[in-house]
Amino acid sequence: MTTIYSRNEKKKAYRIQLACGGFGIGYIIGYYFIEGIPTFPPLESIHWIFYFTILAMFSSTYWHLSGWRPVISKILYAILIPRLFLDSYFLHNWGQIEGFLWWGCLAIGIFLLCNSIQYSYSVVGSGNTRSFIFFNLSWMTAVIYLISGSLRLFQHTMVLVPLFATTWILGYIAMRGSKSNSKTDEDILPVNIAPVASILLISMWLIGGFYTEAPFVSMVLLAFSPLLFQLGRIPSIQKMSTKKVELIQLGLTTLCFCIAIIVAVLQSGLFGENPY
Amino acid sequence: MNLLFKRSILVSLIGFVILGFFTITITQRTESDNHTKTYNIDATHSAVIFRAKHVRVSYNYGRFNDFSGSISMDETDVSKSSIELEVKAASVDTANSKRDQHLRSPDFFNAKQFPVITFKSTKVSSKPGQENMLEVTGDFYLHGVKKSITADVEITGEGKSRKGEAMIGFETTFTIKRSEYGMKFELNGISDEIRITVSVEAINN
Repeated sequence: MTTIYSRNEKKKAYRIQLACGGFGIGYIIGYYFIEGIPTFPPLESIHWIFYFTILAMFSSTYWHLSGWRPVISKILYAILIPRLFLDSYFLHNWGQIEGFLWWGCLAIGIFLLCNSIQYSYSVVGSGNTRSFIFFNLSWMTAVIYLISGSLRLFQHTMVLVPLFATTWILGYIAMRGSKSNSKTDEDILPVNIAPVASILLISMWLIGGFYTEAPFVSMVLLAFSPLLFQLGRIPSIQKMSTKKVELIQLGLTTLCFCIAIIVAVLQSGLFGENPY
Repeated sequence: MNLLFKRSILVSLIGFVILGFFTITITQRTESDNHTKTYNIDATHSAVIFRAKHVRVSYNYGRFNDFSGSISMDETDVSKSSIELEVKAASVDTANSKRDQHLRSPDFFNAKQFPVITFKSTKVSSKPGQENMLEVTGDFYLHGVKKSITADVEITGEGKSRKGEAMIGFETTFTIKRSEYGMKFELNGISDEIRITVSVEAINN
């Protein structure tokens, strides 16, 4: 019995390391092809993503554990990311009070997003929908950057597309392999993938929202869509069938995506005249 | 009494000498200060333009529409002169709105993170044997990176405005490598070497 337990634990730990390592390393390889070797201290905010991905990969190792470590990590990420990524805003644009207000609001937003993405990877009994939603979220973000004139951020976000697509496909295969649909998402993809996914998505939205000409509304809508996973906590929704919950989540997130893209197109035109 | 009188005269003389020395020094300084004229750049009659090679075929030109600066010229000692220029990165204009949006983005100028491009001279000297030519060395700050550059600056003319204010004109052209300033995006399509021309008219107002 102890041997079986220990073998299962080892298998689970191996799967956790593989999923998190694969996701994080996948992005780092993509980063290297776009940016080259990162410098320290980073010259631009976009360079911070590399270091935070490594930190998130480290956080992945204990994300599934209950206790203070994941919470403290989320608080630290929520405080550090806005301060470091938006340093020039603190220096040039915001006064002391305005800066603190922005910092506070963004920190709360990032903490909520981290929680929501973690929740989506652990509790929601909605089959493999969330992987599909994250896949959609990544390519929609990329399209908005393409429309808004930042090919560099488009490339960074496009690195995430195959990574989320892989998690979706792997989840789909695992679901088909299982005898019943009663498997929880945690059995298919470990929750440990959440910190890397959260940090990457949050970084892309933050940089896009503050440093590109992508509409701020579009970025807020994209960032808001993972919060919709929290709908799974509403008792009346919990009573619904899995398929209904899936449909509600897909419908609402698709609505967010569509509005975000329409706003971006209205602001910048579709692709405009090709300047090159 | 006689001794006291002599002492008083001596003290007075020393006092006069010291006072005279100070007066001469201050007068000289004031005269020297009077040789320095400060001019403000008149953006309406000035231009900051740049050119980059597109896919190794042709030169594309762009300009910045929002800039300011001042020039402090010492007529007697040119080494005491100084030049300062500040350009708003977001004002980049290449006559194509979509391309301008791309240039303002983190792909190139990253204008929201690095809103200004500045130049501050650290050394000004006249070029020997070349009339109206200056050699200006200074700190060029672009895209969050500061580098020392040296450029030949031509004094293109001097005159007076309709209001009688003194005017001076300068022009300089120099080349930078954008990759040295951390702008490494699309180096194959858009040349690394960027030629910048600054032509200014400045008024002593």
